[in-house]
Amino acid sequence: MRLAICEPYDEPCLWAVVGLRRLGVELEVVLPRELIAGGSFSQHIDVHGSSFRIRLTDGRELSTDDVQGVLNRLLEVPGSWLERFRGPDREYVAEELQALLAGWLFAVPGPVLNRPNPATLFGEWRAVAEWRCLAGLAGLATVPYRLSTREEPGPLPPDELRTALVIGRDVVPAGTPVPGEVAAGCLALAGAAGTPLLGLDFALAPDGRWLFDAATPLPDLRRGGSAALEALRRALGA
Amino acid sequence: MAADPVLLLGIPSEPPLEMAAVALSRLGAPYVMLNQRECASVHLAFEVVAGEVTGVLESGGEALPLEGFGGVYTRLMDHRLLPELERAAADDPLVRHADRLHETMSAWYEIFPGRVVNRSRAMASNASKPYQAQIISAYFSIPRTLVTNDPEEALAFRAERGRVVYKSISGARSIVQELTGEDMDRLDRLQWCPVQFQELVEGTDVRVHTIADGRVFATAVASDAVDYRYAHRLTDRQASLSPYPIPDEMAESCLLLAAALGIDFAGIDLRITGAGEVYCFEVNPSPAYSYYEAATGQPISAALACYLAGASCS
Repeated sequence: MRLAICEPYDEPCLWAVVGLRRLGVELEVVLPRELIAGGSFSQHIDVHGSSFRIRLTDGRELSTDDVQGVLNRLLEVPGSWLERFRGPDREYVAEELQALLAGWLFAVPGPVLNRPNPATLFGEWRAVAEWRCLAGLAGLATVPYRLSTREEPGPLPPDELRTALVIGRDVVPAGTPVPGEVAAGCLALAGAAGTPLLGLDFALAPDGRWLFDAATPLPDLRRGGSAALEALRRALGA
Repeated sequence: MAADPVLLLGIPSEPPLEMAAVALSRLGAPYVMLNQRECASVHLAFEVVAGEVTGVLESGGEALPLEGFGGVYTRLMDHRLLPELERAAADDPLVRHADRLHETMSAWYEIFPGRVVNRSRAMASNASKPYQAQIISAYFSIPRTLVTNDPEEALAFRAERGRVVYKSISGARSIVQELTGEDMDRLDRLQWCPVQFQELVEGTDVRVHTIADGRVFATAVASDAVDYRYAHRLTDRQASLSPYPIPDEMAESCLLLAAALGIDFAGIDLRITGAGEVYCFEVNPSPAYSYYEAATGQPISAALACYLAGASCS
């Protein structure tokens, strides 16, 4: 069984679920609230590894032996669950549940797109400065970046953007084909960032070169079309 | 002795930062102390071009190139709690400047190519104990652990393991306590918020401070409390600290663990059983080493200063 964890309004994820099921991938959708509200959660950890069992309120059970991969679009601890708490307790519960979800997703066997960081459950979030720096080190041409405490006019947004999706070992274009050297840089960046599922935006230089602008571990998968679905199937090991 | 200038960030009187500054002075290494409480007069700007990071720090009437620093030691507190800002309105220009300064500073040192103690990303692992424990388990024994919201699971774990402690899953409210008969009446509260349970491991507590250049300082801690950090609260006696002669293999495992977590300066909590088994409970990415140095005289701050300055010290 493979899981897709996402909010009910995550249309790119739900699009991927429908498309993957049509490709014959067995995929269960689990809402974040279902993981923490009302059911039973247990995770055992020792020097030999980790095992978990989660009984959801609808009767479904997730266990170490059953889960073979995850499309992880878990944004945060659901606010609807936190509403019942007040003041410092609310903050405490949020931190506890975030830590629980990070520890669980880290332990899930098989491919997880993307594994969590305790600070960001959906994968490695980075500030723009860090993405631009990593991208440059990965061999991609980049849009220069500046950040200052002084009030300065910000850069104009690019007139045109090109987008590429890294899905596992594949680079999937969102429309315009990705030049070879850019594709290699995309894979290098995703590898360096520890983010096997990554959306990359590029501005176009006057000479037509692709200049890296920004990246997100929560890309709009729909932009990759059927090629994205095939790449997801491979990346999930299905 | 050649040494790179070091940037210290935080509250100058906070012991870990203060001791680092003193150690740098003794080393003859130049440093700049950026006092968070004086952030109104500080400006910072940096650029990233083709993977290279350059910039300027304006402080104390000087404009200092950021690429001139060799190391950064950050002990920043949540700036919103600074006395100068705590009661100010959100749209107060000082608050807006402080927000901008801290955002810019943290974005810069995260990608600064020199030595940083410690980068935010590396520190994040400590926010989830089960997450961190799974990394630790490749280097040390870890207590058998259960994270659960299910009272039945907790009871079964206790029946299986005997003496059990419980603690928070994140870094918040992190006081370790033994699960007693009195706690049984409260287990139904687990449904609202899960808890981490662990088998109680008895032994000698050893805090190991590691520095990325290979220096290791181990301190044995004697205490009656389950959690020695709160000995004064949980018992009627303070903990007693002394230098611990750490075996080379154990020291090496500590260094490898810290490196795996990307933490240049780590405080690793070990417990060594009577049978000699070494358990690791946690890797602290912001160690308040001053407590251990003050109690034992171990030259942790001197070693930290050497590392930050890129100096070769014996």
